[in-house]
Amino acid sequence: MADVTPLDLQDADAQAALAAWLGAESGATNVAIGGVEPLGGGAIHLHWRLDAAFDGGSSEGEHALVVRAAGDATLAESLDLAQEFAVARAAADAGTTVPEPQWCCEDASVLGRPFAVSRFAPGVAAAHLLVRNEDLGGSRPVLLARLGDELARLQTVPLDTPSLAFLPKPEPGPALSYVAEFRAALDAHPRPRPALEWGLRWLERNAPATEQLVLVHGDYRNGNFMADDDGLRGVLDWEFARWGDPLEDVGWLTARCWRANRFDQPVGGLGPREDFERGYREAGGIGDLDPALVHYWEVMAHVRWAIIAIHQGERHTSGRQPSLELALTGRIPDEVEIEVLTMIDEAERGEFGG
Amino acid sequence: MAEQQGALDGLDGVELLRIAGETLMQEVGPHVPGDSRYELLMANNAIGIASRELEAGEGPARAALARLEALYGESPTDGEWRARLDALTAHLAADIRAGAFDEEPRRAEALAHVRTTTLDAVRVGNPRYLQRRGIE
Repeated sequence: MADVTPLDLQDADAQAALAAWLGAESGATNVAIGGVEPLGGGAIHLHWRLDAAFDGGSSEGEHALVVRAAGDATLAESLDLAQEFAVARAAADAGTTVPEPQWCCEDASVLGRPFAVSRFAPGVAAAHLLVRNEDLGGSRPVLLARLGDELARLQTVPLDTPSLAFLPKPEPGPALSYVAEFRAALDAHPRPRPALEWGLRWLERNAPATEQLVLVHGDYRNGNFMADDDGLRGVLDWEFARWGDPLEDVGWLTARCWRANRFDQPVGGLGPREDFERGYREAGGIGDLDPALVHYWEVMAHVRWAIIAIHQGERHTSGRQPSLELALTGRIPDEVEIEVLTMIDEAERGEFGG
Repeated sequence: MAEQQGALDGLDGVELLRIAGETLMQEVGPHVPGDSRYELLMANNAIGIASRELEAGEGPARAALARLEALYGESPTDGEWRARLDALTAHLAADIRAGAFDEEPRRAEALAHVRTTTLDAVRVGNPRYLQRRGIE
């Protein structure tokens, strides 16, 4: 994205512009904005929390809101703000818990860049906090079952939803489409990676057929679950959504690389598979939770994470975004590769569910 | 000879990185505010990786080249060994993709090399990962 005007929502002019726009969208005679605070998190976009008091109109009353504005950098593979808004809206309509999307503004003349407004969801989302505090999300079994329930609901979004017509359908299917995408990514990278090629060849030769495409969150893992002591308050970050296999999000959630080093707790380092699977099945989840298939999608998850990490390292080495964190992320693929090779060995021995 | 001299007087690069990391964590660390703690830990992690990489030296890469030459039945040559390693690694990656190592016994031969090479990289990058996972 070229030359985007810097945006600071703590600036009075920006707040006035936002208030006027919210008034016009909601039909309120006046909107008063206060308590604006920047929020961390999110790899791409800028976030602020604020309190807005609406006089009249469709949102009469006081609301805690989050404004999400387009960042300076974009990731080619991620959705733009308006697309992400449409996905989150469709997910909410299907009964998935998301910070409720309210309005989206693609007109850059209001704040200098597109932005979206949602309700504020209370709680914390950092993976290590959820791992450490078993009260977050209610209790462990409750949270794990809820994660299954949420995913089952998401997978009821109809494939012909008009507002999601922009999402491509993977050809020839989710698994082989990923293999092709990741090989292309490796070809664009100067260093050959035989271990990832080994993983991709295995994923190609063992690719399962997908009987029914579903809406995939694309980053459904510990770290994107906003929770407090009352329960799960929202599934965050919808910018990697796509149509795909019902087990894609399951394998991403349970992959060893997202267990915060709690390797004996398969669901995001939070707990055992059984509670999650019960929640998924009881909510009518359509995916077949065959351990061998889940294992396949966990291998895919590791290869995908390695590709993402390589890409992040390149953002540093290219000089575009010098960053110690990005540089260190660029060294992570080695340990992800060991996991890929280990999991292929496990699959060949028929050892699943580890 | 310079390298040996450095090792003898105990002030080689590995030792400098070790004391730099120790100073960073023990002397600087207590004064670093909580919201910069993550940066401190990352810097210490980077120092550790660089130190292990320096300590490992050329050994793992030269061993990888020897394994690749054995895999492809090529006799070792002198000269530009790094360029040769890069070329054979690219060759291996392309062959794996093309299915040249789908069947035994070639499969096991190639996999042993890929696994050893990857393990050597993790021993430098994150040896604790291998311990935590019980891989070694």
